[in-house]
Amino acid sequence: MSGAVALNDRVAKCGGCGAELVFAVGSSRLKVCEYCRYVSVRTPQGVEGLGAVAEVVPTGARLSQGLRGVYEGVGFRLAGRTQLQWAQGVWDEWYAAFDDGRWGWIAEAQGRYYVSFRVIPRQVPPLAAMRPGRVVWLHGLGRYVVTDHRVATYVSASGELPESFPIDGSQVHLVDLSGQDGAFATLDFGDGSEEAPTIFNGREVKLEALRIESGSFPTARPAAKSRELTCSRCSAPLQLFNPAEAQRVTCTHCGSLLDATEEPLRFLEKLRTPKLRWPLGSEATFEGVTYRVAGWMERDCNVYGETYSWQEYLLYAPKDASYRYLLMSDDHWSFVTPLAAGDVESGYDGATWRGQTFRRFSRVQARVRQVWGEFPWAVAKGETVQAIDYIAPPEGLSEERSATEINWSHARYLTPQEVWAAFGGKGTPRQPSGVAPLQPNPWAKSAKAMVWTSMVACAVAVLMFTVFIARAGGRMVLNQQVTYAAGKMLGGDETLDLPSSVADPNQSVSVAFSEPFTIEQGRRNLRVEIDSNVDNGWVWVSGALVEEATGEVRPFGLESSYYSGRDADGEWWEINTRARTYLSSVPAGSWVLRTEAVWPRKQRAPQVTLKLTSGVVRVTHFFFVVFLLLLGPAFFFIRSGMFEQARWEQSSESE
Amino acid sequence: MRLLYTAFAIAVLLGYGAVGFNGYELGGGEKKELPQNARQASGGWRSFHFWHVGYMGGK
Repeated sequence: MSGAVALNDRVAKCGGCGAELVFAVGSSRLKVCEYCRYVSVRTPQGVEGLGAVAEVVPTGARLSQGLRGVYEGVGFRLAGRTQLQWAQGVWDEWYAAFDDGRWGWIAEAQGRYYVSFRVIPRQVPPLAAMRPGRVVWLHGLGRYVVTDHRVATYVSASGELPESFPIDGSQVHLVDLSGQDGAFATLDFGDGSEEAPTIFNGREVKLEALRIESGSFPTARPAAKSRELTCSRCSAPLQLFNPAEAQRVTCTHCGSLLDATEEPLRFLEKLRTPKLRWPLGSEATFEGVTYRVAGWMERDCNVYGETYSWQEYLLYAPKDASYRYLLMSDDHWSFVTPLAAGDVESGYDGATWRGQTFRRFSRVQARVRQVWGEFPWAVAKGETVQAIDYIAPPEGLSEERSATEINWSHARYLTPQEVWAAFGGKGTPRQPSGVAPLQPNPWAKSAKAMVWTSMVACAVAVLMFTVFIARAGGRMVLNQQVTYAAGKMLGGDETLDLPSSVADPNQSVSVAFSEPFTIEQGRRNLRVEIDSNVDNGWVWVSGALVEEATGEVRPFGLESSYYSGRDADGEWWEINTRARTYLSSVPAGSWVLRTEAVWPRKQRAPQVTLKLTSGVVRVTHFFFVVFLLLLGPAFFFIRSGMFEQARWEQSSESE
Repeated sequence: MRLLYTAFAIAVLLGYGAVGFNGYELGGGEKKELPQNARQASGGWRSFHFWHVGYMGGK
């Protein structure tokens, strides 16, 4: 291993080419020769050579060696860089030497930046238990969620580095943890046999938070691959949106899906050209950020034997190399943003994010049915993940879990009009069909708004009812028992015979007049009640209230009947001897009640009790008013419930 | 929609108030008037004839 020669503490000779190596940073242990890529390591015994590393892979990283910045008030310089490769590509780790003597790593991947520092070892579960989604408590650091377990190899390095790394291509096991508010940790289990991993802890930051000094910093992302890319099947030129991170790309000329991590691009399979609502390259602006449609895929799942499919447009933001998704199902749209797993707390029934609770909606195996375009991961037809959706319309959370990683995302429902406007407003949006999981319930808001109004209205109705009770009086103005006599007119000073010619031969008729009685309070209703002693028969009473002074007449008619008997089932009764009616707003005055009773001739003359009560409180009126007042909210609540029922019918949690 | 419902609720309450304060009844509001001659004539409106073939027009 020996080869490099130490000249003094900071200067050595490269063991590969003899060039002078300067360890500019005190904490640096390794130095990669800029001429021959030979790696020299400082040890207490001197400088040793480890061997040569490969050229740095162009990744389109915005950071570069030598850049200075300020993080949390402390200046730093990027003194070196390592590159690691895993199944989904290559990422950069920048060695940041801080002015206060500390050193840390700044990882750059898919437009995201992670600053981390090595911390003292802590008790953690073994590597085998680090399943995606598992919650890990790091003593003194808080709650973290395992997001992925990566098996990577160091492929290259440059500049100075703070610690040694395996340059022989051996694998290292890295477990990423996501904490709250952008916190993250990486557990380096080495070759997988180490029980106590090296722990790096830090947080995800915006590039701006690194306060990279101006001047040498590129304002635009540098091209990762300057070469011309062509399809390996048809030789058509390929235009990549994000060449630095593209893993899969489709040749739109011949429909070939190609592996973009290899050169020449390796043919994977022939794809069917889909009909896209928004073609690749279409520009759209969401939340003030301009995106380009980089890819598209169709996925499906099966819920209780029924297949549901949806489309996902992969949106790429050139400004910060970030990705978003635009989902479409039955012309319902939602905008999806990746989330840090540590920011979400999930349980069996729901999940919480930023204080908002989401209810679990579905747990399915989501399968990729079709793909088209460019993807920063090795997408493949037929690949499946376990997808769990949580909803709080118009927002939702989604957890996608595979054997090696877990990804959370936040979705927000968009109207077709919003989507069309984002794409420039060309064409006419298609109307969505059915109810989408994240679709806002159009009835719920109105229903809730009406509840308060109806409660106030019902309270007013109760108040009015109370006033009516106090005001009504309920005074009985006549209570008279009349024994009718067939063919006779009763009342007054004498009993007269009725003319026989007007009577039905099968019926008996009798008329009775009451003594005059007084209704003292006008603008009150009048309840008329009758009760009779008829037995297996009936009596019809035609009545008329007559006010002698004004001549006003208030007619009414009531029937009283009673039947009983015995049949095969035993005894039976039909009792309707009591009957009542209400007369509207009877004026005050002196009244006479004329009644004319008709009953079957074969039946004995009935005895009828007549009761008149002025100012009766009508409970039925009150309940009818309450019913009317609740009709509106009830209608909206029912419609709201039907809407929710339609929503949850699609849920895997509904049965 | 809330405004519409509020207007509806106010109308219902006004209607309820009118019914409650005036003693109105649905279907119980038929009114007739005795003709002047029937009120003044001897026997007049108390006669059986008056209610069946006279002004009231019979059953």
